[in-house]
Amino acid sequence: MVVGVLLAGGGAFAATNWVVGLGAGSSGEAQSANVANLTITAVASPASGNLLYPGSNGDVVVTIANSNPYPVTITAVQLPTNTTYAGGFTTNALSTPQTGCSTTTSDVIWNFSSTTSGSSHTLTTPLTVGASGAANNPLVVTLTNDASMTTAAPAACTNTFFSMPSLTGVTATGGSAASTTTPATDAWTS
Amino acid sequence: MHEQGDIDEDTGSLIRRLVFVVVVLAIVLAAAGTAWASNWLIVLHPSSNGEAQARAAPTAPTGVSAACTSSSAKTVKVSWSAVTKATTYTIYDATTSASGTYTSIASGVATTSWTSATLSSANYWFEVAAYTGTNWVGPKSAATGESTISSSGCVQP
Repeated sequence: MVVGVLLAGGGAFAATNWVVGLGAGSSGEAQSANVANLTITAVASPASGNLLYPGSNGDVVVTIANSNPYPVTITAVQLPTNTTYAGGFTTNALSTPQTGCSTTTSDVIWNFSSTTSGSSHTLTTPLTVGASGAANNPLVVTLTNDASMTTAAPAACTNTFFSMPSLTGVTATGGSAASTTTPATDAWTS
Repeated sequence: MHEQGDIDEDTGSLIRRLVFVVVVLAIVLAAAGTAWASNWLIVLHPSSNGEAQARAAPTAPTGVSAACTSSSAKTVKVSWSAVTKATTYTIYDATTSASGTYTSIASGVATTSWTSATLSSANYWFEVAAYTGTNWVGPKSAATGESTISSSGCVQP
């Protein structure tokens, strides 16, 4: 009876918490040794109904890939500063730069970014990316109105596709949450 | 010397103690496991970004027309239809012909009509362009019909 209780408890841990050992105090190093990166990339264009123009906000489409053996739930993102601009390209392949609409001139930034690098912004709905090899991984997400273009954006930026500035971080946890169905819609609103 | 009853009592006591330890250990480990799950560090891959897209420049205004404000006044009102996403308009005039050289005479107009100041005696044609923001400008509209300003006022030939 005693042995059965111990094994049952250990089995529950393995299913949800991916532990290396049960020793207290080892979680920091053990967790880092088993963590893989989240990858967020630009692979699709926003729908035509919510594109950018001077003085407006527009949608951003991201794809999030999770290489961990467990689902990852993202609850917030951290943004670069509001003087870190997106680079402009002539097509949605983001391969040929748009002359005159670059990372120094585009005036396109993440909405609600500030003068502080790494400002954290909570998602309206947590996003859960499935485990590696599972459904809904990668996860395609349209971030509604999370890009912003100032009124002074140059004329060279008309009809341009933007690679948004890299996020500086995300707030996320690993576990057994049900994955978000792809494609999804989300946003931060402050 | 231990009797059988004493042995049974000792065994029972030992079992109860072991069960207690196991239960406590299970509770502690469960709590620790929950804490571990919430403390995972997820590292963002370098160059994590996303894609946005900008629309085209505004189109040329349509329905542009010019009308004398009155036959005795030397002023003309120019009107046009709103352009999608336009924030302001610039008005141009030419004084030689409809296909002549146009000069900007008013900018930053936020409405879909504009009335000139008192004009000098001459023949006038007008065109309008839409702006989105400070720098996005669309093509100019087609020219309006002629408006003639004379010493006595304004007529549309």
